[in-house]
Amino acid sequence: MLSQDQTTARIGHANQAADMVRVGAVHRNIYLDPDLYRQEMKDIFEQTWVYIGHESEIANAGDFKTTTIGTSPIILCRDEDGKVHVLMNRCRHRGATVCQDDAGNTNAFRCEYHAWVYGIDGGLRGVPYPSRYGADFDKSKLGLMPAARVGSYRGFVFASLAQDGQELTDYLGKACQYLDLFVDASPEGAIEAKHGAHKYYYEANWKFQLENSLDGYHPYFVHRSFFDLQDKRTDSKSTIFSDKSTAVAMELGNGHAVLDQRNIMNQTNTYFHRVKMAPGGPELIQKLENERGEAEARRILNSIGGNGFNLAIFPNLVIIGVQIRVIRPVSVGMTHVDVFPTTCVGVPDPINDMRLRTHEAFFGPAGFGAPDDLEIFERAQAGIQAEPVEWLLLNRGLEKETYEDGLAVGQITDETPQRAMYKEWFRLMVGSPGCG
Amino acid sequence: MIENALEIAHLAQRLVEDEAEHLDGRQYRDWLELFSEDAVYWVPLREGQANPSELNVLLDDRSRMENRIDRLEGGHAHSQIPPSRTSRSVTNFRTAQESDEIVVVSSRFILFEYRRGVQRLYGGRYTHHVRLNGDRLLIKSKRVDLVNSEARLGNVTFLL
Repeated sequence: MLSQDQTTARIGHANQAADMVRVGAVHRNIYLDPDLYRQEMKDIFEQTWVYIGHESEIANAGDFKTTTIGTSPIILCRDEDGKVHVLMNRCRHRGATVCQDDAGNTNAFRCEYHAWVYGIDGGLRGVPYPSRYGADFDKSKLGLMPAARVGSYRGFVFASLAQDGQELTDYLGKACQYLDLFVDASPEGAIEAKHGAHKYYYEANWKFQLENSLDGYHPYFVHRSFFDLQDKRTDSKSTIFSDKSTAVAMELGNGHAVLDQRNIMNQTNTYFHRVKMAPGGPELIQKLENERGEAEARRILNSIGGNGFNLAIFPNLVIIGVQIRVIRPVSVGMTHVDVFPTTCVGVPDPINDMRLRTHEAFFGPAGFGAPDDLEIFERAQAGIQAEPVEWLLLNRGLEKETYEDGLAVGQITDETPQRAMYKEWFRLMVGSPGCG
Repeated sequence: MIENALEIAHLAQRLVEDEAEHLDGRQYRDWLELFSEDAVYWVPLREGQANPSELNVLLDDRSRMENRIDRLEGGHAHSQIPPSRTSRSVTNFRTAQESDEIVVVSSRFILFEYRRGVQRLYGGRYTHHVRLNGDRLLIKSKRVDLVNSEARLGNVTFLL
């Protein structure tokens, strides 16, 4: 990476990615420049592993869902042999999408333009009036274009449009242990993301959502309305997200990061309080305390809302509470976010129902939390239009964080995760080991 | 005492109209007074959704309705600073007596929302279960079926 002087010298006349990231700061253009955005789609979303969906969303043969890799429309589906496919939702003939629904079950994908029909494995089954095609017309070469590589870890399906690159498990690396914790909240080691999604949009760059998902500095300010209420209604005082907290923010490698609050989840009763405030919550607490005793009831209820960490897997997957959050860039200034709350296989319905209640209470489009984040992203996008102020600061904790195995470990309010993300951003966009 | 079904139907419809006026006037405490202690305010996520235990846009009991108002009035709910200005028309009333105590009022609404320079349009069906409580009618449940509930909803932190 460049020294600060070299970087400064190039500001103003160059828009190259290499000029956009410094140790502890990023340039405003990474959120504003359409050329950099197009490069991100190419060098990040078409190169690295991208999260597509959860296998529980396509549990049966013929099940499908549609989503995107970067801005490419894709289908995630399961064929009759149970194999999972990631296919471009794009007819090989003249380009129309072949699947119009968000999710469903089918035995074929049919382009309604000229009725080309594809199997659920993507293979081209037939075209009308084939006699007018030449001898070189080869149906076996005209299936729906598959992603170059597809991988799955504990039900999380990823795809990469690049032929070559790290194996998925190597890419996930240290993030695997957190995915394990998330899935093993179920006594049967299986979660389900089949309950539908809260879908948001906001008019700001996609990276604001990625950064903010692992931002332990903002909760008491952006979400003050929520924490004021919770403290008042539960006669408690939330302390996780202060500079006195012993919770940590850690880099996990390859741009992944975690806010790990597990060490204090039980003593702070983080999710117990959310259950207490949810419809049906007080009744469930009473029932569990009668059946299991107060301590065990509290332990169970504290695990209802999640596992006590926020995990980001670069570039588009976030795990918070019970949710799988998928970040979908639409344009440099528009982002879609799909949020899938999960339930645990092998857990009684009232517990799983409460996972949905505590989730929708904070993260729903009329919730007490997430809409305030989206509001702030739009204010950030508006604020960085200020031409004379070029840099956004990500230097919190920079001089105080420590290193384990070469990975930074900071306090929960530090910007350690964001620096980790931009290290990977730099590596992919610039092609050399990064900055940060 | 309320004497007959026609009068009840009329008063129940009037109650839904009063509720809409309170919401558009942002008179949240007056709004809450129209609901019973066991009230439910529900916005399902899916078209025709029958079960509120599935994922919803929102599901409030009375306590959470109070929390929602406290949040809106507390001065720190950034998604409602400035607050949404709304104007809704409620039409196509249908009233049915469900039991001696409960009248179901179904209606359609068109809701204009204005905030931070942008006007948005919402619409759908209201279903109110209204309980006859002595000489007073109270809303036992309000269900809001947005026509675009399954869409990529924007900021719906105002009261629907």
